[in-house]
Parts: sequence; structure tokens; C-alpha cells
Amino acid sequence: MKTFTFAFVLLTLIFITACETEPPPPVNQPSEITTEINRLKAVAEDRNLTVEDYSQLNQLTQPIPYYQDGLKKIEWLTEHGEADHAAHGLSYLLLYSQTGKEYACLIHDLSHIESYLHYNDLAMAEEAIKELDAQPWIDKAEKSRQRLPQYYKNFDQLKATVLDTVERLKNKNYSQTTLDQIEYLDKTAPC
Amino acid sequence: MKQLLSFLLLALVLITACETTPTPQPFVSPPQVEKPVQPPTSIEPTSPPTQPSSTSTVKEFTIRAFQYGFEPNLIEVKKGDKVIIHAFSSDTTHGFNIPIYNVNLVLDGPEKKTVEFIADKHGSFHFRCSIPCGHGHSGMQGTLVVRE
Repeated sequence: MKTFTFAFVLLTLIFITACETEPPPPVNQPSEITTEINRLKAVAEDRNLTVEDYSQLNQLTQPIPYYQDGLKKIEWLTEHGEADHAAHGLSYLLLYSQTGKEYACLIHDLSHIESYLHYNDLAMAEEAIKELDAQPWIDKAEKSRQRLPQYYKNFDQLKATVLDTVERLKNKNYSQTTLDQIEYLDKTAPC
Repeated sequence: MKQLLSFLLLALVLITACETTPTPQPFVSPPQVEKPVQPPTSIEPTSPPTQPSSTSTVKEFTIRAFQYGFEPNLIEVKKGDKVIIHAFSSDTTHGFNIPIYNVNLVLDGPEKKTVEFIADKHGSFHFRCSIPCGHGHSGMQGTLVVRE
């Protein structure tokens, strides 16, 4: 009887501990998030978005770092009148909400850095520069070039410029030449 | 023996009860708007036999995305029509996004992606590429006209 009582108490304790584990936060609302992003994109067709417009999306995506990081950049771009770039950021969040994949485009990231530098926000620029990695773009471009050579006629030049620009930024070289290179890539390089 | 049986029974009950604790749902649900790939269709709207209501019809379009545009870049339907769009990319990865209808397709090649919706809001709405694809990306758009 003693053994049974002991086992009963032990089992009850295990049960209580296991069952009292907090359920995960309600982060799983991709359809709501997708709908909200599309709502914002529809609003953006009629007028410029403001930072306040993102409050609902902010709330829906609160615990998810990818969204929060993206929203921080989008809000910055919105505040600084960079509606096109903010729209691109929203597109990335839309894709993430549908597929769970983190789409990225180095050229796009470089043009954001150019904006941060233009407005002299070194903290934002340096945070973005930390994340820069030329290799995924080069790998993707190598593959795409085989399939679509017409878009990569000047690939060697693009690749050299990409590598040089990333290196310059990593070395905190924010000269006009660096900015011109970003501009050149923005106008000529595919994502 | 009785004690052992009681213990096992109790353990089973507790385990079963504990298993009813809500489990997290998968982080990403399948895209809501994508449908299975359909056979190729013509660019011109057609009127299949099924009709959502007495006055609406089904309008079907095939749209090609390319750097940097859509073909056709203007599609017209009537309010209440059921719209079926098959879209594909003839070069790099593009998106096909009609925000007002909560539509977004990822077009990563010649394979057609299909979406259907009821055109229940009248007006002119842009459809745009939703995946930054190069310097002409921002201008990559077309128009959906929904007439009363």
C-alpha cells in the first residue's frame, strides 16, 4: 500500500508539472497576417502609409523576430518617405506569411543601406551592413545566368562590384564611390 | 496485483488527460490562395458552364510575368464574376499580387499557378509583382478593372 501511495503521489506530481507547462503564445496567425499585409498594400495604392497604419500588423506579429525586424525597417522607411522601399519590405513579409521562407535580395538590401546613409542614420546602416553577405546572391546569380544568360551579360562586372561594395561597407567606407556603386547595382543587377 | 492494475489504470488516465493539452499548430499554413495547377488556357476570357449567380460568369485569364511587366496587363471583368487567373513567369521569379482581393502567387518559372476569387468590389485595381526582381520591379504592374 505504501508503494502504491508513493507511486500515486509521484505520478500526480509529474502530471501536474507536465500539464502546467504554458501553452505557446498565439503566434500562429498566418492567414490573419497575410490578410493584414494585403490590406496595407491595398491602402498604399490610394495613399502613403504612415507608421500608425502598421499597428495592427505589429500586434499580430509581436512575438516573431522576422516580422519585427522587417517592420522596424519598414517603419523607418515609411517615416523617411521611402514608400517604394517600404512596399518591398511589406512584400517580403507577405511572402514569409504565406511560405515561411525568408526571401532576400542583396541589391535590395544595399539600396536600403544607401537610404540609411543618405539620412545619416548610422545605427540602422551598420545593423544592416552586419547582415550583408554577398555569397548567396552570387550563388543564385550563377544559377540564373545559366538559365537566363540574356540578363547576366555583364555578370563578371556585377559580381566584382557586389564584392567590392560589400567589402567597402563592412570597412565603414561610406564614400561617394561606394554610394555610386550601390546606385549602379540598383539600376543594373537583377535580384 | 489489484494495486498494480489500479496503478496502471490511473497512469493511463493521467497520460490521456495530459495529452489533451493544446499543442502548437504548425507555424505556416499552406497558402490560402493557391490552387492546383490547371491545364493551359487562353488569354481571352472564356465562359465555362458553371456560374456563381444568375448574372455573373466565370472569367478565366492566363497571365505571363516577365522582367518587367505582365502580359496581358489589363484584365476586365464584371462585378460578381468568378475570376480564375493562371499565372507564370517566363524568366526569373516574380510575384502576382492583387492586395484588394488578398491574392498573392509566387511565380518561379513556367509552371502555372492558379487563383480564383469573386470580383465583389468594383473599381480599378493594380496587380503588381510582389518579389523584388530588379531595377524595373517597382513599375511592374497591370490593372484589373471590375465594372458594375
